[in-house]
Amino acid sequence: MTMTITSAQYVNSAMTGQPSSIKATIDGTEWSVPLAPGNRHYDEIMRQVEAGTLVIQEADA
Amino acid sequence: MSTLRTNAILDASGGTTATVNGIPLRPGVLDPENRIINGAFDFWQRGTSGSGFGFVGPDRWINVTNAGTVTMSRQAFTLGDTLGSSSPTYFVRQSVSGQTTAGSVVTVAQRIEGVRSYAGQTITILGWARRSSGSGNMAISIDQNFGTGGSPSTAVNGIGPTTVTLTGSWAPFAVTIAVSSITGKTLGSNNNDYLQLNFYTSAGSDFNTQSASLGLQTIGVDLWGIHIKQGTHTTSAVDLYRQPELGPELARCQRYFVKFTDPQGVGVATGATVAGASRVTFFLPTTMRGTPAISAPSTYGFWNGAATRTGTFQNSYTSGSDQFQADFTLSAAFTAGQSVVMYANSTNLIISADAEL
Repeated sequence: MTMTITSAQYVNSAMTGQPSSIKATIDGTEWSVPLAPGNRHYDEIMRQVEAGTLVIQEADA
Repeated sequence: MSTLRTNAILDASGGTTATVNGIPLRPGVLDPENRIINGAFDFWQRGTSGSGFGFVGPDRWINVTNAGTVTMSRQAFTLGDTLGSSSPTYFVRQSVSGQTTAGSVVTVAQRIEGVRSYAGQTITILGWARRSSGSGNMAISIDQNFGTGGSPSTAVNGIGPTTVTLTGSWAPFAVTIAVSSITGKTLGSNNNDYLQLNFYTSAGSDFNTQSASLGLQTIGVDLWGIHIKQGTHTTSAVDLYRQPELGPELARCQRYFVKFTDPQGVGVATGATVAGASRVTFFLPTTMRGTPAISAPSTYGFWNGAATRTGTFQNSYTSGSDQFQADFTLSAAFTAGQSVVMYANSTNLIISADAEL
């Protein structure tokens, strides 16, 4: 499945300060993507990262 | 004990209202062999038309395309229309143009959860189809995908490619396919393996094997009543199809995609912790296939019992598949610890949860 991902950034949990999701614009829609292998959005983000075509930005401080 | 073997159970008048101990014989009640969801195209949570690759049309169905202009749209039957013994409501129309290269391909596809589905069995794919514009036919075949994570086996694509001849009138079809055994195969570790049913409506020569050499086409194809029966069947079996009951069928769709329209919820203000935020819990109407991604593109209303704010989506917390929490940035902070109510301050507000394959 081909998705067009134009941005991706980790978002930290307000409670723990640790990354809890990835905010990504996928096919023109902004999604909060869980850090969960098997979720099709997460899997595609990681596939594109491994392919070197996408970089996930660090979370805002 | 004895075994009764028959191809059909009809009521006393030869009709299709027969029951067993009062339970109607109809899809969704006593039809476990059909694993196609929304084959009657009653549910369009994402919208009634769309174009390009992805889930742009009816629930569970994928508009597969890599070139040209390909749209899916909801079309309504005229009240009183019948197909077989059903009085259907909506059908799907896929319109294809601009396919020019050997690598171009278009299908209407559904991913059935679990590559174990029908493995090693003979099944028949049934339904109604017609050509609404252009010229050409369609072809049906099946893919087996073993998922991701770890070292899964390579997908097996193009099982049982068969051409279905189309005309401008609705006609039943029945395509029998021997689904490959998965003995000796390895599943991925991410619980996302599936069986994919493909209706090819245009296919360049790179896809001759999967599409029975269908070829590139400019065509509109209409489909309704897509379902699967185990074993070998002819088109006479299509008339026995009943469109599923709406309630159970919607729940089956929502295992994979949920859209809250004008959502409401309760939560707690987190004050200035997250730029003046509020965290709200949402309970999904059914347990989803897996942890969903969340989209919340609207601006929502918030009330702490004394004052109102507007809020926009910031982040989701999805540790499971039957609920999630979401943080919203408010137009001005409420005091941390206050209870807040999220409400629809206008219409057509949405929040979506996606756990599709």
